[in-house]
Amino acid sequence: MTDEGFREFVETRYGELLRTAFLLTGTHHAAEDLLQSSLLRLMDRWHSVDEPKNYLYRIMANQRVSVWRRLGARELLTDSLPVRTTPDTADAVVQRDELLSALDRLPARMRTVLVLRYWLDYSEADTAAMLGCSVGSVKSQASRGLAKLRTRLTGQEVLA
Amino acid sequence: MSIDELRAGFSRVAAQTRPAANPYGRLISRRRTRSRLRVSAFAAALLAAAVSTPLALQAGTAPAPPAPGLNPWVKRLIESPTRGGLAGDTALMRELEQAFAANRERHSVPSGMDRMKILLADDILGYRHVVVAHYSETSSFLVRRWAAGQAGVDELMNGGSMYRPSVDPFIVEGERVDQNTFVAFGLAPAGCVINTPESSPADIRDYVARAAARMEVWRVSCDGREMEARTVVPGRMFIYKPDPAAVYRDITGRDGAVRWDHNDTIVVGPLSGTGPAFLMLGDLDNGVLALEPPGATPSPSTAVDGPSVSAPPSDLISTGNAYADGDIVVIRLPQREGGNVVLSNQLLVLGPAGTRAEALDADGKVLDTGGLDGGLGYLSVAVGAATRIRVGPVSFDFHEPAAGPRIFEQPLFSNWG
Repeated sequence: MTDEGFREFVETRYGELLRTAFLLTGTHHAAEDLLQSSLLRLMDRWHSVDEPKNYLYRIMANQRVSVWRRLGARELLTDSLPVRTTPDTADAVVQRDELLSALDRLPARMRTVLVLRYWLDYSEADTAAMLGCSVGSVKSQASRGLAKLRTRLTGQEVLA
Repeated sequence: MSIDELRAGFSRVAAQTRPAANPYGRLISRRRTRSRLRVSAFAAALLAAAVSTPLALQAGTAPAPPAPGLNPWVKRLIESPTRGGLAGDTALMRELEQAFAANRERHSVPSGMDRMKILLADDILGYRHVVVAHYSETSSFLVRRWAAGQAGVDELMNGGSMYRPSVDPFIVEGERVDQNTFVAFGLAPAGCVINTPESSPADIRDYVARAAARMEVWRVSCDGREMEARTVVPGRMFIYKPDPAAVYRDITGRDGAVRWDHNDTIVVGPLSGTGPAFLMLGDLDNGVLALEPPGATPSPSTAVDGPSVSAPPSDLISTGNAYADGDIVVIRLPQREGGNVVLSNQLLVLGPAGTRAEALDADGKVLDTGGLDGGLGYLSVAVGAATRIRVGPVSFDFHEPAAGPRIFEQPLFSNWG
């Protein structure tokens, strides 16, 4: 199947989609795996989907919540290394790693709620619809998630 | 943490991600591979059905778990007795079967897989592990759950979990159970033998479970034939503010210096410029690539036994081959392939900034060329193809001892068909 619309969607959106997948998973390999598998599902339904990006985020969010994806658990095609263009400062790396580590320790659904709400800026109602849960549950998960991150990033649970 | 701080943090984290080239092409490749697998499975199912139907009619009864279409070795694994010390506890087995059946949806078991087999139930080094195969005529799905030792079924179902989209004939799984202990276990079809570096003749069998402190290659033979060699990689650990120089010191017992720090690619080597070096690649999930010195005899033990650090490095994933000439270092990078880490077609070249690097074959033909922007560049060259590397005015011989997926100079392979 080759559909120019789908191809254009992939080629123009892949970077931003991969960033979201990375926030959902925390590793480059798992992010590529999640994104590629989600895109293949979107590809099968391309002509019947009105808002492909929203549909794709729904697939990604639910796959992330429902399946614990581990590195190496699935086929991953990587024929070149990701390119880095902007060096990070040491402080930025530390801050980045601390947040990633704190996110890694949140339950999958809680992490997904935070990404949908505060990275993709979905409303509470839209987030609830995407995850098939109540608005109250989204509010609760977001609030508890922020509280947990706050606790962990203040150093109370740092692994040495 | 405020919402604004989280948004800023998300931006910082996301900014480190850049897609590899040609995402659409890679996606289509993946789709083709998936389609080929499906076609193969369907063809195998037809063939198996054609062969097995007359036998089934002749016998008058269906065999216990017939799974035509599944790889015959997967079928043989599923038909093998349940492994582990808990397998004989029939009451527990019954409870587990009911629990896994009741949690199919929660475990994301695809619809249509109406059969189930407990492959393993065991208490290993203080943790209870259960591995279950859900399967149909043509496909399979693996669920693994673990919890503290002696855990009841309810506790187990709320413990750790792991799913795989298919069952391999040789299942190798593992879990880090505490800061210093990684439990690995391997299951092979009944009658096969799993050979690990620490196996003694008395414990070579079709089920192995033990602590693995370092990366190892495990091999399995069936019916006298070598079927697979794959890596067992202790699980990743979170390292808080990893210090490459300190890790190098722990590995080698000598002081090292950060030779290069290019974003999250860090090469560390001795101050003298010769001797072992290692590479940390963020793209490999904070993995550490231990490298052999130029001209050294590959020596897995020295490469992987060394760490005695209080917070050990995360995956010590591979030795590669490093070649150094003056200020030039050429490194064959690893990549993950299935459950293994293998050598990729990428050479990392470190050298004087602004120069160009070339890989040449035996006839002097340029196989690939690229600029060393900032002193670092990549060349795409198949393992064993290049015999000479040229960086600016400097060129030197480049010999890779063997081709193909290898790790610690041991070939990795899979012959399950």
